[in-house]
Amino acid sequence: MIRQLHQQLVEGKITAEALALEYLSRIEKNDKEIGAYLTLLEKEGILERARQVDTKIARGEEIDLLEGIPGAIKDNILVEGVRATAGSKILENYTAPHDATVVTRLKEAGAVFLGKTNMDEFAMGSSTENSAYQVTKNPRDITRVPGGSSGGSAAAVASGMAVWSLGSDTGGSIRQPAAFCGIVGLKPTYGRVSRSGLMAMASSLDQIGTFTESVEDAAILLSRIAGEDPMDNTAAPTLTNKSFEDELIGDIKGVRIGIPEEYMSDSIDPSIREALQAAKKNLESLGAVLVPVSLPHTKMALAVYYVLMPAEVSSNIARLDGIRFGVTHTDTDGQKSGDSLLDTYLKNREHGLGKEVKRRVMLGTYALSSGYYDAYYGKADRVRALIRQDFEEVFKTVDVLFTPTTPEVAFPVGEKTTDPLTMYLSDIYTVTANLAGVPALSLPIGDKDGLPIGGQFLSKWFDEEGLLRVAHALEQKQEEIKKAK
Amino acid sequence: MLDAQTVEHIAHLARIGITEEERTQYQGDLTRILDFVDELKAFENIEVKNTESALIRYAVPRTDTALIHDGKERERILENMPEVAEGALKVRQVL
Repeated sequence: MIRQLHQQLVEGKITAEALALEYLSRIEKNDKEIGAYLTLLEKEGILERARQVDTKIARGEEIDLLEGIPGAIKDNILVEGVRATAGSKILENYTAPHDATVVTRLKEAGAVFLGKTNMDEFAMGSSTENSAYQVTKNPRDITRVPGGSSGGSAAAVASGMAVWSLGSDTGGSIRQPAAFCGIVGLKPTYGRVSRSGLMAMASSLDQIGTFTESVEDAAILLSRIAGEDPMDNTAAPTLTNKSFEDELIGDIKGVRIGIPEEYMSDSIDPSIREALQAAKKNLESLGAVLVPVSLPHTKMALAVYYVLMPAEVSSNIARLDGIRFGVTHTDTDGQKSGDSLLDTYLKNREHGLGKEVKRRVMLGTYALSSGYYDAYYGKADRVRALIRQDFEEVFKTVDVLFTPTTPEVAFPVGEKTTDPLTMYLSDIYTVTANLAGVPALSLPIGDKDGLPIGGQFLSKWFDEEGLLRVAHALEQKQEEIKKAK
Repeated sequence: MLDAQTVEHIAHLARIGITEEERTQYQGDLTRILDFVDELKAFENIEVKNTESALIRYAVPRTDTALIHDGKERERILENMPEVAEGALKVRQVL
């Protein structure tokens, strides 16, 4: 879609300003119902950026593929001068003092930003119902959740209120909402994209990624946000001059695709099973070789995740004390609360943080506390290494893995809010990629009565080329079949 | 089941004020989640090498020089603070 819009811009069929206005009017018309956006950027600023692109085109200057293309940013990623709440009440008045590295890079590419999208508070949740501000609805069926935690970013793209968006993925927060909303969600390798300017949730798992309508669009965005950054020492240098979009050659003959048995539990929705079968057939018809494989420690992944993640959360959320970051709670009599510093902390966090955040902070505090550290954190860290070794082993024999993204389709709003553990199970097929650090992508592969189904590809560390190429080939094949019908 | 005292202790360590009602709720919630992650206990004697290298494939150090920020960023940081005095964050007396 980005390439087509770019072509229309270059050929003068549309202007960047008109494009921005079109998306702003869609937001005005549809977002009351969907609730994807938390903050819109100032209209005049948006149009000014768009007009700069139009001026360049009028002068006959070459423009980047992403130049003038409007998109949205998850609210835990900083855009200078714009409110950034991360879906939390404690940051309701927080204005970003600088740009996240990804935002700087997209600005350099000339992209246009429309607004900041709704999310589960500090990215903790799988339905976007944990936002302190609003519940985002699934554009395919507004009685259902869009998934989470990047539900606003997913819903914005799925409802045509943004061409692209950025999200963050700590345990599936890009891939699960992409699957629920029927779009492409990419979580790059840990270290592919700088995390500087992303509010940290669990630092060894967090990664910024993209929501787009197509695999090619994901490749275009990734090329522009990837690469080393002095502000994030885990961000790796890009070793090739080629753009990811140039690697989508369509040919996957002989590519070995592993089908892990552990991702096909009995609890999986039969419609998802069927969609997966059809996708596997399509991959075979393209010349790929399907190989049954095993990642034996997969069954431990969710337990490992729900120890390591809260432990890191409890440490990262400590800075949100209403003093260093966040709103200081004011008592009903208008006085700043707390008799002592400790009291101030207790009150600020009691009133500023939501239920799920508190739950995870407390869980993490417990897992890290004296006497329990080795039983929980130490052990989980060791089992995590085993999970990573599973991937190292399996990638000696196959190029990519193919699994369902989720065990079920989008669930009704309110269905899982009372039971945190059931909600956690939504991440069952996605957390492994974060624990191992490998890249993964969710691609729409069918639907159940109109509700989208996602298929997940995973590849070796820093092999987004291979990942995108296989997903792109399947996407093209599916398009072909749709057209023939 | 985590007892009430433990939950209160954790909440205190985490610097989160909780009501009695919340304490009861967290007692149940945390117990259920801890029961779920207890399946890790099956891994009693597993020796693993290199846990620390799980993810850090690259660790690119930056040069040891001060970054010069413009005044605008400083302003914005100050604006986000709950109380400012003489260009600095004002906090409660600690001692």
